Amino acid sequence: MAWMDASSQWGQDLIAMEMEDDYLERRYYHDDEAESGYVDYPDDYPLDDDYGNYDPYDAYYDDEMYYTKISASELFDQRIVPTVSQACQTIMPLLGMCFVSRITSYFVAEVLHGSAVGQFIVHSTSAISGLVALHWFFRENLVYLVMLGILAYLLLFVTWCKCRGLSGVTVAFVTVVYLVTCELVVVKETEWHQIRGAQMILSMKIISLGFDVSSGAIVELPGVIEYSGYVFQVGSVMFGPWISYQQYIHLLSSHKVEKKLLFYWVCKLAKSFILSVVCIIISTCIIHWLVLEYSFIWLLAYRDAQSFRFSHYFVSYLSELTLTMSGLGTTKNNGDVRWDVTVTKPYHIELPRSLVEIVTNWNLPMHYWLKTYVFKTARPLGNFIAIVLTYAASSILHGLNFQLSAVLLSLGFYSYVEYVLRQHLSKSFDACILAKRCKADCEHSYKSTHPYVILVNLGFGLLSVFHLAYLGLMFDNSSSEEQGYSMDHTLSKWSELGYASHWVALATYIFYILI
Amino acid sequence: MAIARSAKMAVEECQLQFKNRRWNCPVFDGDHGRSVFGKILRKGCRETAFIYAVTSAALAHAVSRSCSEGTVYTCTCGQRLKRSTPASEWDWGGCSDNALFGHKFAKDFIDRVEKGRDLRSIMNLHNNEAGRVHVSRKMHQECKCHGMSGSCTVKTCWMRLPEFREVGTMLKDRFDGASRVVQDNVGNSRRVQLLPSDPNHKQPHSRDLVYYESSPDFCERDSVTGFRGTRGRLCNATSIGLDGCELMCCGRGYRTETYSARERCNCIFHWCCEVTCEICNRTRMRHTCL
Repeated sequence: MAWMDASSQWGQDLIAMEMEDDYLERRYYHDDEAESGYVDYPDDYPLDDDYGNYDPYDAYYDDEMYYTKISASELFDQRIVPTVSQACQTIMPLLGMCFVSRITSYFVAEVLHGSAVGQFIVHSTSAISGLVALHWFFRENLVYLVMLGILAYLLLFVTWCKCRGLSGVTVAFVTVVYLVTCELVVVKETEWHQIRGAQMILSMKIISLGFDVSSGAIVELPGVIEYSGYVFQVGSVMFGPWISYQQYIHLLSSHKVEKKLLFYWVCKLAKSFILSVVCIIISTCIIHWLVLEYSFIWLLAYRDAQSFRFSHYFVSYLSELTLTMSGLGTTKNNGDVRWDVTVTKPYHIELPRSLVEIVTNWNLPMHYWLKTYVFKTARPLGNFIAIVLTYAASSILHGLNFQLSAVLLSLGFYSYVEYVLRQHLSKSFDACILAKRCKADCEHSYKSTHPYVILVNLGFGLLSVFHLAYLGLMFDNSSSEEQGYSMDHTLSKWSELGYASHWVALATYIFYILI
Repeated sequence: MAIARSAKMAVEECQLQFKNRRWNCPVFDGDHGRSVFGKILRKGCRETAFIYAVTSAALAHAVSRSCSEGTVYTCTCGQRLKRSTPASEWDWGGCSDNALFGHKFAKDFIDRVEKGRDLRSIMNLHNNEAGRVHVSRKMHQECKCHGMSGSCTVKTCWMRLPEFREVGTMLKDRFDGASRVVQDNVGNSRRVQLLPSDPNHKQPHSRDLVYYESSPDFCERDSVTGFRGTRGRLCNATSIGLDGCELMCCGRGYRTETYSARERCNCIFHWCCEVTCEICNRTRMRHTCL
């Protein structure tokens, strides 16, 4: 305890510092071991967690954690910097691939003027860069994606020759069977959880292509190269968003690059990039820093749900970024080209008017996809069946785990209750309190600016926030996150809150039936 | 600076963990056995074991933390991302070396003193290591997944050092379950082993605290440990635990006195946001050991 002697009188910081310097110098500047920098553990040092049942205290320790707020500078050093740098390191190759695809399509449009060779180059670059990106993220697991792609093309080809009308249904059915088999039988949980997002985008693309072929929206069956260019399009293969085949074909008609357009392109890239970085910082660092463990339970629920939402915004902005980077995501308005792909609208989700609004704005392309390819297709079978099918499609695409299905089912029920109740109320009071925003020229006598209308809408909005906190709270980053969450996890989280939101929704429904 | 801070941290933690026991981790200013903790360090009892473990843990903790703060220039908190294996297996480059560095630093720094091969040195080395292991084992990685609808396409991770309070509490539990050891005289002389004094007990684990002498009862002034005894200590008249007057005063009895304390009372919250209180004189009771 020689060193304790030195600091035996408090205030002798100086001595301690000298010792430190002297020590460090001796130890680390004239020592070969300095390079390795690791502890030479004794042989019996337990580096593994393999203690058997030795320590009955461990479980107890883990429960009893002490949380205090770390300083802002520590937050920055230990959380924000690593988080952002890891995120950037991971997505940079993807962005690089997107840029390659963009440059290729630009030069082909400039030099080869859309000749057959040019088209071939554009499609194959798109597909190859997409596959490279997939490999960068998933390594050998990319095989499940490629297999689905091949399977779907074979089906499309066969149905195209034999019976065009059934293309969509067949492809959709086989995709669903494939997804379910993969998830339940073939692929390991952790791996599936990793590729699920990409698998979802791929399935959406394939199914939409099938239905477009059926309905005649696509006249010619795309060739193998065009097809793979579409389904593995680098800008949307990883994080989405879903794009239709018609949108993809725009890649060929690369418009003359004007200075102004290039400027807007860069602006859009910068905007998406900054927003995604901000969202990931909020999601992983700030929220958990602001609200500490052992706060009020509903506050914790709100925190975990919000962290999940911001993680979703991060992915959404990232998908905007990649899509724009790869040269897609434009709309033409009176000959005016704009880079304005929008995947999510956080504003409408954080400060919602209704659950319906949240569901719509959560992922706009996906919402459009569900509406066009599932709801409208199934409508002839009746409204109710169409709604059930839409819900089922969304569940299966998201993966068959209990947690997501429970959340989606609850969400479906809640938004239905809210929708009918507000419709009823709106009719009775002749006021703009529908789940959807009133148009400017609506026929209600109480417009959106009326104080009572504002109050009622605010009330419904708060109710939505409450429901959303309840539904989103189990997407916390607990240890089970990498495999997907189990049913026990979900139910335990909800029972902690006494299933409050389900009771509230039920009460709302009973109220609706009574009036 | 990390070293000075760690010594302070160790003392604070020790005093907090032992505030309700007879031996309450007193510190000394003057030349009292040449150490802040006093002569008790020359003994080989449980309390000694705890002091060694907690100081060693405090140093490891403080150095690890300064590492990630960047105040110790020899350890780099480099942002290298080791991606040796497929993307699914993430390795954290970042600051994971910090716990190891802190561990190593504390080991070199503190263990250097114990050069002997006697039981006391071995015991001290063991307890030092036990303290450090608690720190580095509790340094853990936390991750968060990002991806479409909650999938795990991208993962971001960071390291989290345990709060020192947590380490102190764990060491206190180890203190309560510390094993008494004897030196293993059989076998080769190069490596001295510690054996439990009761042959029916297990071999002490690297995280266990060990001692070889019984603790004194710490009731009376003791010149060997330099402890002042419990005379004059405050105690809890209603508790039957170690902080209760019966045990704390070793049956000598206690004196009860009343004193008046000035406290805030009748606080009213005014919208918004002000709290106004009155000052009241309240009578309180205090028990001190005879």
